[in-house]
Amino acid sequence: MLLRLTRVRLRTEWLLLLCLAFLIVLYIWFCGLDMRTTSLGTFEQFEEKYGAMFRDGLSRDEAERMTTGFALKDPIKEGTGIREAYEAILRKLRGFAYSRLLMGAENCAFLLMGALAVLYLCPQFGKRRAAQWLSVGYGRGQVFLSMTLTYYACAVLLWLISSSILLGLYRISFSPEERGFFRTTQLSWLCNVLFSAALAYLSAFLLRRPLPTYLAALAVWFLLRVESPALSASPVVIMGSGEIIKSWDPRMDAGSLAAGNWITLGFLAAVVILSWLSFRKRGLN
Amino acid sequence: MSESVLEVSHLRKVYQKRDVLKDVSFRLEPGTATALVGPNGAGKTTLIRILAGLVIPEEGSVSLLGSQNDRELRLARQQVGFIVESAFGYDTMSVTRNLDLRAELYGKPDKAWLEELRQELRLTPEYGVARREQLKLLSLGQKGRYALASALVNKPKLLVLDEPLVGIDRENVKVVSDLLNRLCGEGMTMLLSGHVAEQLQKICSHALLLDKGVMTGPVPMEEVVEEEDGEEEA
Repeated sequence: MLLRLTRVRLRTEWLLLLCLAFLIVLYIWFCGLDMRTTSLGTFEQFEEKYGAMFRDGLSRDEAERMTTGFALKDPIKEGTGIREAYEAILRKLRGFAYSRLLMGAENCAFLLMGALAVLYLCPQFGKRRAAQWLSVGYGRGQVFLSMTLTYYACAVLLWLISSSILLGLYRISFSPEERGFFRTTQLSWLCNVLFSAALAYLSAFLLRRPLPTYLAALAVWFLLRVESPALSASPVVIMGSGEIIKSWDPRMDAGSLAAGNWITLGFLAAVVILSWLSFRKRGLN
Repeated sequence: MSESVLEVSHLRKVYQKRDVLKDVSFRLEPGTATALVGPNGAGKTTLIRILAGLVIPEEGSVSLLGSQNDRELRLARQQVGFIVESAFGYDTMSVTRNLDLRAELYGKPDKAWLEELRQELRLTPEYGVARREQLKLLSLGQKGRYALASALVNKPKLLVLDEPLVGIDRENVKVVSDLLNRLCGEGMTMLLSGHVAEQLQKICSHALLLDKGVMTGPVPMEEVVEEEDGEEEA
């Protein structure tokens, strides 16, 4: 019965999912256009600008200035050649641009998931479906589980489609090591999408005031994460606020990243449990 | 005495500290058509929502088709057809697709029966409902007929309809009434709500009267209609 409910629901919403995935890919593509040109320019332009520094060998001070100036994690060493320095800086800038790209995609997915939740679960829309299934004889548990599963399945599907296309599009541009890094980011992105889905779910289903509550919760979360490294590790980023992106923040470490993701998953579980308790007690009041 | 199809005992429902239903009790016997009549705000829709399992009452119990517990009650709903407030449907899909999906929720759809419903209730191109026309584009009357069709997809033993004749013109009221009378004659039990008894007189023999959450009856339909006519003249 549960599978039947879920299948019926997905059959009716496939078009919406497809449109959302298409929008995400479009957005990512436009962000990608920005990524193709970096401030570094071609190697010839780099050589024209910085060649004098490398002519007699890069000094320690110059290497430190270059490292700080481009915010490199792996410092350029004294005596590094110009080609080697150029490639190191290019990798970093590309990585940063790619991170912005991924975070742009996160923003997009986040906002679209919010819109999906508001449309999907607000009383005028999603609960009509729940009313239909309840009156047909399905139990409250089955109905709730189906709604929750299909909702989060939509979130995961969106993430899968968008991130797969993204990685596929830039496969040629990056080395295997860089692709490994982005795979980690991709997983972190999944937590973000699930978090935003939970946030919108909470607003629409549990609190019954979809849009205002969703925006208020988003604002509170945004303010909290600026202050806390653990919360920052699971970033919910407002579109365009590149300065707040914490990927290159010295405070960020593996422990913070892990804590952030656990916070996300914990929040998600808490939302589902609270929503179920409310639904079981109040029905569709 | 035969087992009742629907038995409601001492039902009480409170919304925002106000009693919307107060100690409501009644029974429906098999093969009968009963009207649930009352003014706007009387509690008719709330009662039907409780029967459909959408809303949980503060007190009282509901027994459908002899159910003894919550699990049996839930299973019994699979043999009941409901219209609650408005048609259950996906606005961007056609009538045919909506009926198919609804029937799927009950298990294996009976395609022949679905087609018969479409024909009987005039949900066909000859009557202005194109095969692929989206539900949201139908008129109020067409939506009303679709709502009835969706409540009948599982050939229920009990039909509970909230305001089934709203927006339906006189000619189509006859179509709907003829169908419901035929089904009632074949053994289907019905509870139809409305605030004008005269509309339901063609189908129902008795009425339960609900006003400000208090129920009285059953009363013969003729008496209710006479009283309504008397109030209008006054």
